[in-house]
Amino acid sequence: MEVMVAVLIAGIIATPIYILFSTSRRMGASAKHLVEAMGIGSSYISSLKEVQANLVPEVTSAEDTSLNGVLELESLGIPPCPEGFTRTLTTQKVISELGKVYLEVSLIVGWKDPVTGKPKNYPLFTLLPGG
Amino acid sequence: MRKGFLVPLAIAILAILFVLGTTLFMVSRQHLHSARFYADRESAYHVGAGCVELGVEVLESFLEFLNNPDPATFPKHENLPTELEEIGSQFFNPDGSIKEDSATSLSSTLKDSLTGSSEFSVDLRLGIKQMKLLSGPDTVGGVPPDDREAIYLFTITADVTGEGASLKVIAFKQWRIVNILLPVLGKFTLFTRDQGTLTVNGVPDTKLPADLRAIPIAINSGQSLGSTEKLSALDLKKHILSQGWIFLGGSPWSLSLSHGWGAEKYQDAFTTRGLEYYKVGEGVRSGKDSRLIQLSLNPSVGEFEWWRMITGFYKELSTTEEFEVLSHLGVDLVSYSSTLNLYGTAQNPSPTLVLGDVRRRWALLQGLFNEKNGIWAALPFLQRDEFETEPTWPGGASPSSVAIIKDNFDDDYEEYKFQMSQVIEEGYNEGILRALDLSDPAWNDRFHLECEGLESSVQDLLLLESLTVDSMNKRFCNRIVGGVYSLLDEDSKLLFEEVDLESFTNLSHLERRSAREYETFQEFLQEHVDPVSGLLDLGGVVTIKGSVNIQTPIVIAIGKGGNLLVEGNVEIGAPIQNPGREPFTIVSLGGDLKVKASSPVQASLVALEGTLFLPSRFQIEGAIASDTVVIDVPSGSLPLASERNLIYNLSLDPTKVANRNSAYRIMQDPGWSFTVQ
Repeated sequence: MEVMVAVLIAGIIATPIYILFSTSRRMGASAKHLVEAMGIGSSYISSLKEVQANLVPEVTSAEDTSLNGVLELESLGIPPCPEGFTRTLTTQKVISELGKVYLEVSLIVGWKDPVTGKPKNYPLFTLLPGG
Repeated sequence: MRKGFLVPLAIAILAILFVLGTTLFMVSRQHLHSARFYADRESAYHVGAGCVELGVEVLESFLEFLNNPDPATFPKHENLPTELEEIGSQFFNPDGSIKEDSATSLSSTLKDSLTGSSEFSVDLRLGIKQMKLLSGPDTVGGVPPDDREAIYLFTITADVTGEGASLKVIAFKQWRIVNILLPVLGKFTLFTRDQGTLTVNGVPDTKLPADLRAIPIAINSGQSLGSTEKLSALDLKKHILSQGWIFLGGSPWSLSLSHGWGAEKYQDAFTTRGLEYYKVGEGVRSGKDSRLIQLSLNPSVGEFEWWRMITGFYKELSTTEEFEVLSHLGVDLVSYSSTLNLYGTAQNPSPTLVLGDVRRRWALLQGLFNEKNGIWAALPFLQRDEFETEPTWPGGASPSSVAIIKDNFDDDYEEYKFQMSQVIEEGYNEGILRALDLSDPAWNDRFHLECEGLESSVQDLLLLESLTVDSMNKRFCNRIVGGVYSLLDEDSKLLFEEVDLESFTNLSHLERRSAREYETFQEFLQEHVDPVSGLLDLGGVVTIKGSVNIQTPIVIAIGKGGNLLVEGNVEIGAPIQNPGREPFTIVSLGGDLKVKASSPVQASLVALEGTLFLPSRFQIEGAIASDTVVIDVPSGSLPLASERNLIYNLSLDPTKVANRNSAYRIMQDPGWSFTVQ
């Protein structure tokens, strides 16, 4: 009887503990992937800033690995995305009120949540002068 | 004892697991929050940095507009281009100066587009704050402070807010607003503190073009008059005030006006005056000449007339070719004329104001003419003893002629002096009167005008209100020499006060303006010469340590003039082109300045503590200021190739308010500094 009570109590208590551990693992994984995505996106934008913006072509939702010329990863000097991540670039030339051309950059880093399998993304937007 | 052991143990283990799990959960949640926070901040940063670029564009355009010297853009605060009007109007005071502290929001469709995509909102603000004035509140070295010259901090703040994070991306840089005109020296075409070893009258002048050996330096102080043009007193004063002036310090300068081989393009302006005849017994010795009048009564002799004329100097005035008319003054005095044509040439007179103890000398030739016999005789210059004792005079006057003339003057040398040929020396500025139209033929036709001889009402019109010498105003036809000088601009604002021009070497007001220091000239060129266009882009005041040797041509970009302060010597061996006639000045702070280029140097050259060396042939389009000047003597027999011109650049004139307003330049640090808060 005592053993049965103990198992019951342990079961009742173990369930939330399991949930705690499980959720923690998911959150840890999400945080890790988010930080990784931030690094992947940020380094890409930083490399893009080093390129003369007027040489950057307009692209729409293009995977980074599919780009050529100045946008080729080797030209940008950055490694490909780690496995499980993608970078999708959109650039558009826009003109300011003073007549200067800019490159409006939208970069979306995508990955799948390793636990849930749901797609995730981390967007970055900026303007680069001289497009 | 053993009864009930497992339950507490299980509870204890579960409790520990619960605590561990909870802790792990908390830590993981914190990590996730942190990751999201930093990811959002990173995202916000890129949005903010993009918006800051829009602010940079606006401020750079504003800077370009402020640095644009185009007169149509002045006054700046009233001529803002439409796209800058909203922003620029926030930075100007009503008087056109830049505010000490101001900020304004910048709206932009690009910003809206960017924030629309990112779901962040951005408040983009441009700010300006005066950090300090370049000069203190007091006048230093006679130069009052300019409260528009200051160091400003410009900021662009993108305040990004969103659900996850908010931050500020701030870009900032210093602007140094300086005026590139020289408040004291800028008014002068030629400023020389001392004669030094310069041979003031060093041009061997002659009537014979074939003997041309050297050409005087023609100084054009900005604007020329027609060769016979005359102006009313007010217009002439206006002309003088608009010209670059000349200061010649040190011991007195006596310039013998040049005859220039009779060629108007070499001759001093306002030098010659053609023959004028008047009857004996008239003129300065009215009622006298009884002997000549008596002779005239004899029909076989006929009537006599006096004649007189003014000329520059040339060697024939001492030879038989010109009746040895001034031979007794010495060959050297007569044969050499001035190295400097201060009023330009007879072809292009450019009268201006000459400061310092400067005099002009010209030859007054006088003599007798007998129309019946066609006898034309000059009365030579004589000393008293020569007049009294010599039986014959220079020019071939026979003893009988000498006796008649002496008799006419009652053997009185003082009477003869009125009619003999001689050298007249006067204050240099009296030459200006040759360009004065007195609106009265009786006055205009006078053989020679003197400043003090003018009617008082005319003299009053010639008073220069903007210039004081030892606290007194002078007329522009006066010799203007004194201890300390003060000058007002055309708006009666003080430019400099009680400055002893002769000992003026304090250029600390220029050094204060300097925004950058370069170790070498090459280092300066690397930063300021556009690699594509090759144009020099200075646009302010910089200092170069050591010496400067210009061996390749320099072309100054429009609107990008300035002051190049050099601690050592300067050598200019290549032309300097200044197509926009920008104020561009090269200053040797403590050394000499040597021009070796014979091609045009379109710059203002300053070496107040040293010597300015000029080649035998040069064309300087700017100004010159130095302690002393040394000019190479032309060698060989090709003097025609040795024309020497100094032409004032009117945009250097600090008395012109328009010039000064257009000469403010903004120097900025290279690149912007960024910070994130």
